[in-house]
Amino acid sequence: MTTAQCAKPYGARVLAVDGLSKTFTMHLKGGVRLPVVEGATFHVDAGECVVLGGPSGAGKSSILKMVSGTYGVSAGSIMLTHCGQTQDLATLSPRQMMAVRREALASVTQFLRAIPRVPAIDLVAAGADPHLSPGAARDTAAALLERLHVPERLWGLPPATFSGRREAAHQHCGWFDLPVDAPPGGRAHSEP
Amino acid sequence: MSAPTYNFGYLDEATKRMIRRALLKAVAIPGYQVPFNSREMPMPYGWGTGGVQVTASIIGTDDTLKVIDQGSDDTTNAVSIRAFFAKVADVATTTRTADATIIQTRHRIPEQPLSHGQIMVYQVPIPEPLRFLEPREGETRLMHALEDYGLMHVKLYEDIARHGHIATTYAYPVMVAGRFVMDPSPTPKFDNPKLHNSPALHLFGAGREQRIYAIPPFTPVLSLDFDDHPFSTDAPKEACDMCGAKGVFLDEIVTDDRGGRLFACSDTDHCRANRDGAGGSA
Amino acid sequence: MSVLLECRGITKRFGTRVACADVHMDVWPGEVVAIVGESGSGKTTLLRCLSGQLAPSAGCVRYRLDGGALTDLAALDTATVRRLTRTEWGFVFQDPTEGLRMGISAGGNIGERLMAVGARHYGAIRTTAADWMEKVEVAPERIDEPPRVFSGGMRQRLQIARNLVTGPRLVFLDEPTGGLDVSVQARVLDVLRRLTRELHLAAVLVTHDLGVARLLADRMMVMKDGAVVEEGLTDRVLEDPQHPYTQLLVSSILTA
Repeated sequence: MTTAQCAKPYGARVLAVDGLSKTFTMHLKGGVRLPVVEGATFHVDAGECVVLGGPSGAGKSSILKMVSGTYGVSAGSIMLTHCGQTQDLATLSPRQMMAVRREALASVTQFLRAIPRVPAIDLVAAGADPHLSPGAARDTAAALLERLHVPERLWGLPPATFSGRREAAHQHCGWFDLPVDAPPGGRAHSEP
Repeated sequence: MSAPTYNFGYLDEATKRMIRRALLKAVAIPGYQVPFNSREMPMPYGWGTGGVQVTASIIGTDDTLKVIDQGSDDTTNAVSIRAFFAKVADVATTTRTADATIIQTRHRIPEQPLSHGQIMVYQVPIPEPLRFLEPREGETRLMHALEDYGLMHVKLYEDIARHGHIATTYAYPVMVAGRFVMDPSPTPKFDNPKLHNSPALHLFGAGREQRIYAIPPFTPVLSLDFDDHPFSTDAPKEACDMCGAKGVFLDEIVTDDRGGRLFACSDTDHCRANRDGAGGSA
Repeated sequence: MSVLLECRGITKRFGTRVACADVHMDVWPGEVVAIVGESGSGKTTLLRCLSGQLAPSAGCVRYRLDGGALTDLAALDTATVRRLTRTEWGFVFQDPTEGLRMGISAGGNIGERLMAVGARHYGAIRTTAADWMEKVEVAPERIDEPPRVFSGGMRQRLQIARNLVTGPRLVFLDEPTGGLDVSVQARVLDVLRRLTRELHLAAVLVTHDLGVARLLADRMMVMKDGAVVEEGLTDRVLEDPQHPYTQLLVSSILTA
């Protein structure tokens, strides 16, 4: 099942986050416990763009990392509805999470973590529908890059050589639903 | 006190029985190397101790023995082994291929086609065809057991890659009865086709390496090759300068220091027979 | 899709020393699983148990033979194991002299597996070998040169080609970039990454280098003193490590 084949009726519940908490235990610092998110609750419906606002250190990125599976969840649930199926991302096995990432979820961050040395177009194509042929995936990738006004002469270069547009390319490694982690931040300032 | 006497054929009867058991097993599993308990012989390793032990174990009073070295009946090794058996077994010896019941050889198979009932005995220095590719004995035995012979073709591949053709000209590996890859001893590949469905029994003895193997009569023996680089004997185009024979294996003999040379049959008996005309064994 | 390799309760003792203890893992088609840990943590022993080179003291390893039923490796005869190792499996060693025949040409090295499974057309073997040299970014003009005249990185890439030429389904990688300079490492990793994705290969990767694991692996397992102390998605283990040892490993290696 792929995103392209799944209709998402406007307004349907896509994501419901409930009582989400995250505490880090720093074993190297005497086991000190560091709560970064406590009881976050929100939801996102199809067609909506939801902004998580707040000062630096408020836990915005941690929430997104829990949703995308990069952080474990200390408490609470993350219900994701995709293709009529609802799953709690907080309880998925690594393999189930891999499938969700492949089919239902994409993330963008201000920190470029794309694979080095891989041309932008291949990077974007890698996020395409796995059922597409390599040629068709590249065509789709080319269309997306064009839509984002990434000049064609850059397509063959690794995105690390891009300036403000690099996370645009990065973003399209997966051109899907959710979430977006402060992507414009990098454009306003120099990249870390 | 009388002169020292030897048991018939030099070896004691118990040793002969042990070697015959190995020979029977070798005949039963064509191409398979059977370990045997090689004895010290009154000659150094490398001079045919394996072949001599095989001959000593099978020879009987009514046998006629021929011994050749590089096709020749009159080289030191051939002469002394022939004399050895004349002394310790008191058997008839011959240089004529057709008259021999047992032919012990190093490096050649006679040009004259062998007949059913004749036995070829080969002196083998290194019985393991995979040895130069895989030095571990345990591993090569396992490879034989599992018919894991890809490596043998790697060697032929390397030949073609380096020389444009399969440059192995002697000890050219063969597949015996579709099962075991075997080294036909350092015979030239020219002689390989003579092994295929041969009416004679072929016995191989490696004294130092303590291995015996065999090709029973009428056994398919095929030289390994590639579809697009088939096996070829590379038969010499020249004729023997002594007897005029063509399509035989030739020795090149340098006759002076001005580039003079002549070609002569490597099989001296064959050459003599040709020159004697109808009186020979050819 | 179904699991390709599964191991249950693998324990390997050498005398009284326990090299790896009660390890469970699954490998699915198309995924790269990294086993990380410092030297002596038991990761190579585990790899050798998984690939049938070492009999575990307890537990079992099952492999889906020819895409059929899961079969206990211990129940397979030597002939089947050897056939597996040159058809459905691949092995890339840290030391290329272990995985290559140093005196035989690049073409012969790559062609060996083909000949072992019955290829008998010299021209076709050679064409395939040249194609594979191209795929691993080694100039095909050098097909007749032996590995000893190639650089360390090229040898590693030749080793990869030699293994992948028969289209294996599962590849075992033991510190594939271990002995290489950083810049050379990068190219070997790029080739491995590209080929595992393109060929939908499953791979078990043993490495002490978290960077290598991050680049290649979908999932990772962290081993310490023979036991798996943590496992999960690669980015999760690296960004949200739970076990004190994993936290130490991550903090001491990753600075970015």
